[in-house]
Amino acid sequence: MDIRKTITKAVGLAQGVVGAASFVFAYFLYHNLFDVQVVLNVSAKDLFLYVLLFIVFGLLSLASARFLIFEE
Amino acid sequence: MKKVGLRRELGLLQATMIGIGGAIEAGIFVMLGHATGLAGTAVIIALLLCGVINMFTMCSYAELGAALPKAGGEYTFSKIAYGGFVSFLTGWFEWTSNMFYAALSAVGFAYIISYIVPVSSSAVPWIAIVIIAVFTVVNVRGVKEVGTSQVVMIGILLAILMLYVWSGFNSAQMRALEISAPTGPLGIVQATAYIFVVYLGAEAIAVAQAEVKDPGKTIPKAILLTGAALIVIYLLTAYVTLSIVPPETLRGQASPLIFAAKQTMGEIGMVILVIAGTVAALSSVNTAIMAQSRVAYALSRDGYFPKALLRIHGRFATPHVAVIVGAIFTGVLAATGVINFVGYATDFGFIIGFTLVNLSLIKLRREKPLLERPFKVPFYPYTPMAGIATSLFLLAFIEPGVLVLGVELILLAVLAYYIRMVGYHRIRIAFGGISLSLGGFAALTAYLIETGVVKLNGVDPSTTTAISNILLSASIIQTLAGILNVTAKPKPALKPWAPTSSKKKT
Repeated sequence: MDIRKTITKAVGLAQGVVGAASFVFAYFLYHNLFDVQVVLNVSAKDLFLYVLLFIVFGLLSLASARFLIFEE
Repeated sequence: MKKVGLRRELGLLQATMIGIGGAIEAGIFVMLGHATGLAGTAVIIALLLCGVINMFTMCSYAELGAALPKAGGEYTFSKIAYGGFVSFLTGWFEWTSNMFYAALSAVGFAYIISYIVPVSSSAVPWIAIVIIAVFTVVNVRGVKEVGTSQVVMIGILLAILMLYVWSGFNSAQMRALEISAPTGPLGIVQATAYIFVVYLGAEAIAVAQAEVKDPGKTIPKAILLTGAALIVIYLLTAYVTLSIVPPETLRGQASPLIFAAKQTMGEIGMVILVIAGTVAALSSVNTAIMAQSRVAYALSRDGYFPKALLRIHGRFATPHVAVIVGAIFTGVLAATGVINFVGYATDFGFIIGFTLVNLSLIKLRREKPLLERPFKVPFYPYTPMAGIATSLFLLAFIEPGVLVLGVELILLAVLAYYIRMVGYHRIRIAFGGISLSLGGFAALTAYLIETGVVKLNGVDPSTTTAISNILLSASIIQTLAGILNVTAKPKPALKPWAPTSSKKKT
């Protein structure tokens, strides 16, 4: 395996972890685990917007990671 | 290496049971009340009309299914007739409708069972997910298992419905039924449009046609038998129900059949009908999971969906990846509860599918007159034309909100189609650009936190710096990923094939 492929897979894995972490954080935010809503000053009105933002961030990261890990 | 493909394992009985099981779902157990409110006892005429309308299109399914017995059902028909976006749209509606249908039926099962077992509202999605998981395993195990489980479930269901009809005819409460429509012909038309959904789903036979034995003979027989059996089952059930319970009482009932069974057989009747309702819901889940996977398989075969969905299980000879992927979407739909709204899209998708099948039949009769057709639609072209007209008529009576949802589904299909058509390399570059933007966004957020522009409540400075560093690391990863995706080389084009000389150099 050439070095570019190795780096690509490693970066893809890291991006996948970032994407998954974004989903976990969206879950924490929605359920206010560890008082995340208070720490980030997120009001109940804006909660869904922030959750959506993290989910979209996670989805896009995972989609991009997929291209890097399973390179054609 | 031995090539693994779908096996022809479904006989006439199994194929017919797949059709009946696909159509009879919880709907008939709950919809008769409102339909009676619209048409009075003339709801029986509405049910008969629905059966006839259904038969127009079932004839088209029978002809095309016997002539083109490949996986995918109406998608395959429209692909051969029209190709391109029209066929993709047909497949898309077929795929999404079956997933919605499976999710609806799984949730319906949980609600019906709550008649006899206390089920909290929060437990409903979990029960639905368990049911979907169980039938996913059945579908992965093999099409023969799907067919056998359908035979058992529909056998139980038909036995219970026959018991219901028999006990109704022998009940002291049975009275002579007078057919009347208090709101006139318009009420019958409205009831027809409302209750037509109870006939939808029988076309699952066509979706599984690649796995039917002796397709030229079995497919038309199974489809037409299913259409006829549904008419008889629904008419008998409605006749008995209306003869026992007056229409004015019936229209207020959440489940008219269960209410009528309680009148004739007491509490045990209610329990038996609840069992029938749950079996009907389960058989619909089973059929819909099978149907969605075969459509996804066909779409993947033609390059519209990822190739992974084309994998066939070495031992069970089923498209297991397509089954599992569709089941995951179905589970999410069932768990989120949004299916109450999108469930209406099921009807829209099926009705659009009906129109496209009839159009495909007419086009293929004109353009491929020499295609071998073991079964031919009688009274051509009037039968498919009647199928198109009645499908469009049903669409006209559908709620405006559903039409909006249908348009949204079409837009989603356009997006999916063009993303696929754009090609792998361009999409990868696009995602590279998105990753660069995400990297920039994460870096900006890290900077704003570090400089105190964005303040975190009750967090000490060292933790703030740690959060900022995590964001910076994420930014670096996103930027690197963006660069790697944008600079990725396209796959080299295949060299044109050139014949090699068999002569040896001298």
